[in-house]
Formats: sequence, C-alpha cells, structure tokens
Amino acid sequence: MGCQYLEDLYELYLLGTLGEEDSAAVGEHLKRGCPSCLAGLHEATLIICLLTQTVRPARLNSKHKSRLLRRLHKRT
Amino acid sequence: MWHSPSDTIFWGMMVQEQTAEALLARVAKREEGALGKLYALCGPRLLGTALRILPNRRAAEEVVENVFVRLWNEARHHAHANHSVAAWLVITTRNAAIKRRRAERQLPALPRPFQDLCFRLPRREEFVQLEERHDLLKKVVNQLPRPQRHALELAVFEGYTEMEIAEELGEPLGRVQATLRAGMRFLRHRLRAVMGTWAASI
Repeated sequence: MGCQYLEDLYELYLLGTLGEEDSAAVGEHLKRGCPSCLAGLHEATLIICLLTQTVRPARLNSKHKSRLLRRLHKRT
Repeated sequence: MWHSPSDTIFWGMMVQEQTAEALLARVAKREEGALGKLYALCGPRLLGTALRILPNRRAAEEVVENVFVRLWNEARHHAHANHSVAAWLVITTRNAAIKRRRAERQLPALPRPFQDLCFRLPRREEFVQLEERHDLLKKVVNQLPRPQRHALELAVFEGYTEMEIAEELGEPLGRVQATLRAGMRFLRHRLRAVMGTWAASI
C-alpha cells in the first residue's frame, strides 16, 4: 500500500492530535525518509503557522522584557 | 516609486523578516540588545498565541521568555539554517504553551515528532509569503465549516488529542477524526491556491 493515506495526517501528527497507533505509523514512515511525506510535513508546518497566526497580538509588558534580559545576563 | 497598499504590506513584511534574520545573526554573536529587539518585533504575536492557550498572563509571559532564552542558546544553529526564525518562534511557543496547559490539566504530555523539525520548517521566503497574505489566509480559516473550525481550534489551542476532542464534544471518535482530517484537507488545498503552488481558485 502506498503512503497517500498519510497525507491527511501530517498536521495532526505535528500537533500531537493523533492517537498512538496513527502517530507511530506516521513517525515510522517518516524515519524511512519518504521524500513526498517529508515534503508534506514541510507544508504541514506552514498550515500550523497559519492556524497559530490567527490570534490577536498582545501588548508586551516592559518589565517582562527587562526580566528576560536579566536572565540572559546571568547566563552570559 | 509608489507601492499599492498590498505592496506596502508586502515590503513591510519583507523588512520585518529581514530584520528578524539580521537580529538573529547578532544574537548568534551574543548581543543581548539584539535579542531584546527581536523580542519587541516578534513578541506581541507570540504572547498573543501563548495567551490564547494559557489563561494566566504570567504563565504566558514565562513561556515566551523561555522560548527566547532557548533561542539565545540555539541562535548559532538557527542563524546558519535556511528556515524562518519567526516560524520557529511561532511553533515553539505554541508547543511550549500547550505542554504547560496539559500539565496544568494533569493530562499526559503529547508525543514529540520524530526528528528535529527545523529541517522541515517554512523557509524565510515562505514565511514572508504567509505573512504577506495573512488577511486572505485568515479569511480562508474563517471559511472552514463551523464544526471543522471548532475541532481544529481544540487541537491547536487546547492541545487536545482526537480522543479528548471526541470526549469534549460528546461525539464518536470516528466522526471527530473525519472532521479534523476534512478541515486540514480544506486548509491544505486553499493554502496551495493562495501561495500559488496550485492552480485552484478560492
């Protein structure tokens, strides 16, 4: 059997939505390096970006930025 | 030279993506100020995403902060890769917020994909194209039939598995699986049309 039936699963695989059996089947197939499925996976990341980008941007808190930079400073 | 409004938006997006990449190159050289600027550039979208997933603002801010600390540590890798750093930020923020939300709900962690996803992330020019056509693509998402859209929202922003979505909606698993797959198929076809990789009309 070909792998065309996996075409509908890439996005759901990346999101972690699939059940264990389907997720394992997609993962195992991708490990074999199937070029068309890897291309499908690439397209799926675009769709996930698209869905995630539908949210409204939020106003940043300046204290939050300072906290982030302090954390970096401690690590450097 | 005059640009039409859509040209202006396009060039704005190009500048933003180029700015993000230029800042990333400086972050890779350990310039803290560059990370601060990258945070100011991409942070509002990322915080919006985290807030859509996590009800608590402090928790959402921590998620975004941790993603930027991770970027700081991995900047050299991203600077030499071909993928869009903005796309990496978007997907990493979503996944980190979902991980936290599921832990709060005492749900098991979701399985991780099989390999480093960076190799499969949108390339810089693709992400620019996605941003450039953001309004049109948003309309595409709004065109999804309501049940499909709702099921996809539960997957993307609640981080539910298909089994959990079925429980949440009180529907058979098979119907939920069919709904989710149909929704993704719809988006895939429309995305190809909008991105010009397929000759379908919207």
